[in-house]
Amino acid sequence: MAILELEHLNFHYRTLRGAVRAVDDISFEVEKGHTLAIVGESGCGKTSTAAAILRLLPKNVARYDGIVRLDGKNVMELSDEEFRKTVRWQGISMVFQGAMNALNPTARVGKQVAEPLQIHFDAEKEEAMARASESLRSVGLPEYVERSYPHELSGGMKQRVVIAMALILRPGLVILDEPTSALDVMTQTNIINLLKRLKKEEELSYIFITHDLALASELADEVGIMYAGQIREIGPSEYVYPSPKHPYTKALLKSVPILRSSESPISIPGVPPDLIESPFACRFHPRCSVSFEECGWSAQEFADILERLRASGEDGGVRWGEAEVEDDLTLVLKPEDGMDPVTYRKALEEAFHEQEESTRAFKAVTKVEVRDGGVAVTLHEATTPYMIGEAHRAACLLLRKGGEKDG
Amino acid sequence: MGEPLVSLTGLTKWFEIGGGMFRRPLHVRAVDDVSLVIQRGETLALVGESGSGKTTLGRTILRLLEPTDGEIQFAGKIVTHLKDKDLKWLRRKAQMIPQDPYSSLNPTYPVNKALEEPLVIHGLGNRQERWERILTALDSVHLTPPEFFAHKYPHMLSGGQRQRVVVARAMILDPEFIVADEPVSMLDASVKVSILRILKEIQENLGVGFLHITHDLATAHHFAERIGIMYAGKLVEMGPHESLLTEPLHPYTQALIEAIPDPDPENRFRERPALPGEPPSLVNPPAGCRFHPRCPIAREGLCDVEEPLLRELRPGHFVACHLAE
Amino acid sequence: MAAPPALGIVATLKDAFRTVPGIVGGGMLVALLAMVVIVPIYAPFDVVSTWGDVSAWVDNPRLAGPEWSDIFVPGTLPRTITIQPEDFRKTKVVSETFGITTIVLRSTFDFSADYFPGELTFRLFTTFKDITPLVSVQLERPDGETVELLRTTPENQAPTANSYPFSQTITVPETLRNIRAWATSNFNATDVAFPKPEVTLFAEGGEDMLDPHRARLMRGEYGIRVIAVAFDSEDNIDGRFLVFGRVFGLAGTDHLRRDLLTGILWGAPVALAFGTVAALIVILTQTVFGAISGWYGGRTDEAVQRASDFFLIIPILPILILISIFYRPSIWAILFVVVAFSLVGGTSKVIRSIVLQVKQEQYVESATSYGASKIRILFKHIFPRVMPYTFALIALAVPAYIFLEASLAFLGLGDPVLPTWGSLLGTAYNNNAMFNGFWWWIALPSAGIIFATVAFALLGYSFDKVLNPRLREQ
Repeated sequence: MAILELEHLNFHYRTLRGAVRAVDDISFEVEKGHTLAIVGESGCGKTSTAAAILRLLPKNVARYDGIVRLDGKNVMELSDEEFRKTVRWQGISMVFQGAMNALNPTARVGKQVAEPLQIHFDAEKEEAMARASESLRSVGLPEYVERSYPHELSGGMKQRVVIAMALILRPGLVILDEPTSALDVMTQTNIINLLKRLKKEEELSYIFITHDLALASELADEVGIMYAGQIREIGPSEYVYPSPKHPYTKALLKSVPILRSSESPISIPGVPPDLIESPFACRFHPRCSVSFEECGWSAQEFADILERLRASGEDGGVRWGEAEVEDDLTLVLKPEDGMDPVTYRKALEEAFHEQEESTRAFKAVTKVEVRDGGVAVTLHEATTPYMIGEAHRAACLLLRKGGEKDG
Repeated sequence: MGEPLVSLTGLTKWFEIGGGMFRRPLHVRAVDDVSLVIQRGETLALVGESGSGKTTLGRTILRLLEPTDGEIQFAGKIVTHLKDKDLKWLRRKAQMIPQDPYSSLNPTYPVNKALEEPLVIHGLGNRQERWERILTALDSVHLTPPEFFAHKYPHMLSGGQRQRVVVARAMILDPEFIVADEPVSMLDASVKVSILRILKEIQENLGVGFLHITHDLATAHHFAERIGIMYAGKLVEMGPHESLLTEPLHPYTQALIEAIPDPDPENRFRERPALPGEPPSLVNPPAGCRFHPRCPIAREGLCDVEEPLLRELRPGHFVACHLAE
Repeated sequence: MAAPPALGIVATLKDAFRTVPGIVGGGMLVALLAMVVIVPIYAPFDVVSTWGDVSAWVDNPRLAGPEWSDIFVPGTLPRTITIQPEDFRKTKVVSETFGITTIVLRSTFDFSADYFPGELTFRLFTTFKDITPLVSVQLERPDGETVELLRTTPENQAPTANSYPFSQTITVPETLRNIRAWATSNFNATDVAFPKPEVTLFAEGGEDMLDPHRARLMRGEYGIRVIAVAFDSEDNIDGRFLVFGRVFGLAGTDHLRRDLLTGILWGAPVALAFGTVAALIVILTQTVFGAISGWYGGRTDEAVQRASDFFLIIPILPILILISIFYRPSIWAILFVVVAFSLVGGTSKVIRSIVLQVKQEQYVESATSYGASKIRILFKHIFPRVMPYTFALIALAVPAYIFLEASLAFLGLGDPVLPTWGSLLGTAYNNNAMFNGFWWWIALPSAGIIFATVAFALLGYSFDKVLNPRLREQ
C-alpha cells in the first residue's frame, strides 16, 4: 500500500526575475516501508518538492496545487492548522540539509529533541524527555549525549541527533534531504547503515533526496530522476540502474566516476537549465545527445538557426530573408530582394526538404504558406513528453516513438 | 626522470592555539613529517577525510603557510622559509585552484579583470598582449567564444563556468605546478567531469604537475596517476592508482575503499562495513600508529607504541603500517 | 554568519534606490538639497550673518507665528503694515515771520484683519540745525476721532532713528496716558490696570475699549499724521510707521524679531554640511583603520582594537561641552574635534568583522597565491567589498552627527554666528517658548532635524535592506 501519493503537484514561486517553476506537475507514490530516492542536480527542485509535500512554503508562493495523499487521505484539503497538528512531523517528518549545523549551541541535546513535543503537542516535560531519550537511543547514541551540548559532539553524532528529532513522533515517512552531504565517507557510511537498520526494524518509508546516484542506490527501492522541476524517469532501482530509459538518466549514470571500474566518466554538455526560463518542450533537449526534431524547436530557436546558417553561408543558395517570430510555433520570412512570395515559398520548401538531414530543425517544418507578402513557416508542435510505462516510467518522446535510439 | 618538480622532506606544519598569558599554547599537528615527490606532468591525488591535513599540506607547499619543520624543494630550489618578497617567482610557477567557485572569484571583477590581475602583478605583456593571453586562457578551458565570457561578471556564470575561469586564472601565468584543492566537490555531477577533463588536458598537454586534493577516491582513481592517502596529518599510503585500489596495503585505505558505494541497486540489501569511531584529535594524537585505536588488526605492544614508517612494499607503492606485507 | 553579499557600489546604489525606503529617503534628501540651493536666494549670507545683531530685525513683529497659522483660527490674523517714509505725503510750510517751519506728514492705511495688531511703533528721522523740532504724532480713526499719541522733541539726527514703540508703555508712558485720557473723556470708557495702546486705538469707541479682553475691533481706514514744528528752514523730518501683525512669513519670528525661516533654511546647509562631512570623514577613516586591522591582524589588529575601545568609552559630548565653555569654537572647530576623537571606533569594529569574513573568501587567498602583495589585496579586493557597507554606515551616521551638532547648539555651545536648528531650539527653550505657546519656534526647527535625520535613516535602511542578507527580500 502506498503511504504517500502525489498527483500533479505544482509549487511555483515568484522572484524579481519571474516565476520559478520549482515543482512542475509531479506525480509519484511511495510504498510503505520503501524508499524513493529523488536524484537531481542542484536547483532541479528536489528540496522544493520536499517543502511542497510538507507545506513549508515561502511568502512569495505563486502556485501551489495538486493532490498529496497520506495513507489514502488527501492532506491538501486540510487547513494549515490541521496540517501542522496532524501531518507535519507526525505523519511525515524531515531531516533538513545542514540541520546538524543548525542545532542550538546553548541548549542541551536532550532538551532540544524534546522541545517540539512540548511546544507543538503540549506534552508534559517528563514525558517529552522520556520520548527524546528513547528516540536518541534508537539512533544508536549513548545516554550521555542527552546532557551534552552540540559542540561536544562529532558531526556524525549531531547528524544522528537530527535524525532522532525527525523520528520522535514515530512518523511513517521521513524525508531525508542530503542527510550525509557534509559528512566524511566513513561517517556517511555509518549514518546510511543506521538508516538501513531503522528502515528494516521500524518499517519506515523514506524519500531520500540526493545528487549522488551511487549514494542513492544505498537506500533506494525506487529512483526518481528530476530535471528542471520535473520527474523525468522513475522506477524500481533494479530497472533504472542497469537499464535507464531517459537520455538524461543515461548521461547522469555515465558521468559518475566509479571506483571499481576503469571506464572513464563522460560529462553532460551544457549548463543545467534555469527554472525561470526553461527550454521549450522537453527541458533536457538542448543538452540531449539524441534529441531530434520533435523534442522542441521554438520559432525563436528556429529563427536563430536560420540566422546562423545565413551568417555562415550554408543556406544552399536560398536567401532566408529576415525572420519575424509570430508565436511559439510560427515565424514569417520576408523575401529579401523583391522576390515574388510564391516563388520564394517554393524555394524555401525545397531548401528545407533538401537540407533536413544536415539541419535537423528543418524536419520540424509542417507548413510553408504565403502570407501578407511573406512566407509563414509553421513548426511541428513540440510536445512536452509525458511519463510512459508501468512500473518503470520515463518522459521522453523517443520512447513514445517506440524506437529507442542509442545515446 | 630527472629532477622532481616538488620534493617534500619531513614536512611538518603545526598550528598554535589557545596560548594565553598563563597557559602553554597547544599545537595542532595538522601535517606531521610528510615526505613525497611530484614529477612534472603527473597528477598526485591526495585523499583523506576532513581534518586529515591534506588542505594544510597543499597550502604549505605553495608557501601560503610557513612550515614548522622539514623542507620544500621546488624545481631544485629550497623554498621552505623564503620571505614574501623572495617568493614572487614561486607565485608565478605554482598556482592554486581552490574549492569553492562561488568564493574564489572577486564578485566585483569581470572575468577579464580577474584574469589580467596575475599578469599585471608579474608585469607581463602590454595591454594588447595581456588581452590575447586572456582569450587564449579562456579558450583553453573551453569557454568559447572567449570574447563573450571575458566581459561577464561571476554572478552571470554557472558554477561550472566559474570554475573554468578559476582554472584559466591559474593557467594564465604558464605555471609548472598547480595545487587543486577539491576543485569539483561543489559542482554538479554533470559538470564535474568536464572540469576534471580540462585539468587532465592541461596536465598532459602542458606538462604541468598537479597535486589534486580530494576526499573522493573515485575521482582520484580516474584522474590521477598516483594516489596518496592521508590520515590524521600523516601520509599512510601512496602508490600508483591501480595498485593502490586493487591491492590496498593499509587497513585505513582498505576501510575507505569499502565505505564508498558504486551505483548498484543491490547495495540496499546489506550494510556496508565501516570503521567505528572518529579520526583522532590532532592536538593529542595517539602514540604509535595514529590509526591503531580504530584499526581492526592492530597489535598490542607494537602498533600503540612504535610509529610506523613509510616502506616501499611494491614498486612505487609505499605504506606506513607495521603489519602490511 | 553568511559572507557579505557580493555587490559593487553601483549595483548597491541601484538596488537601494529601488526599495521603498530608498525612494522616500532619496526624495527627502533631494528636497533638502533643493532647500540648500534656495537658501542663498531667499537669505544671502550677509543676511544670516546679522543673526546676532538685534537692530537688523527691528522692523519684524516680535514672536509672530507663521502666516499660515490663520488656518487654526477663525478669520484673518493681522499682517504687518509698514508705512515707509516715501508713503507719507509731506507738506512743508516755511513761515518767514517767525522763522518757523511746519512739516506735516500724512498717510492712511486700511486695517481689515480680524484681530488687533501686535504692536505699534513709529520711527522718526529728523534733520535739524540747532534746536530740536517739536513733533506730534497722531492717529486718525475711521470713526473720525484723532488721538495724539505723542508729543516729543527727537534727539537723534537722521539717519539714526528716534524710535517710539507705543506698545511698550514703560518706554513711552505718555502715549498710554494720552490714550487713557482720550478714551475716558470721549467715550466714557472704564479704566483698567493694563490697557494696551494697540488695542484701544483699534477698538470701537465705548465703555470696554480700554479692556484688552473685551474691546471690539474696528476695521476701516486709519490715518497717521505727524506734525513737526522746526526752527530752521532746512530742518526736515521723515517717518516710518509700523502696525505690527501677529503673523510673519512662513516660519514666524522669535523674541528678537528674527525671521525664523532664515534660521531654519540656513539650518539645512549647516546640518547637512556638518552631518555629512563629519560622517564621511569619521566613517571613512574608521573604515580604513578597521580594514587594516582585520586584514593585517596580529599586533596591528590589537592596537587598532584597543584604540577603538578607548575612543568608544570617551564621552565626546562632555568633552565638546568643556571645550565650548573655554573657547567659542566655530562649527568647523567642533567638527575637527569630533573627527579627532573618532578616528577609530564602532565602525572600525564593524568593518573589521566584515573584512574578517571577506578574508575567508578563497579569492583573497588565490590572489596571494598568484603573487598579489598584502597592500594590493587590501586595496583591490578588500576595500571594494566593504565600500557598500561604508556607504550604508555613512548614511546612518549622518543623523547622529546632525543630532550631535543640534545638541551642542541647543546647549548654546554651537557656532556663535550661524543659526542652526539646534541653536534655534536652544533659544526657544531658554525663552520658555513651550509654556508661552510659541509653538512655531519649537515645531519648525524640530521638523527640520526630524526631516533630515529621517531622510538619512531611510537611506541607511534601504542600504541595509540590500546588503543585509537577513533583510534581503526575494
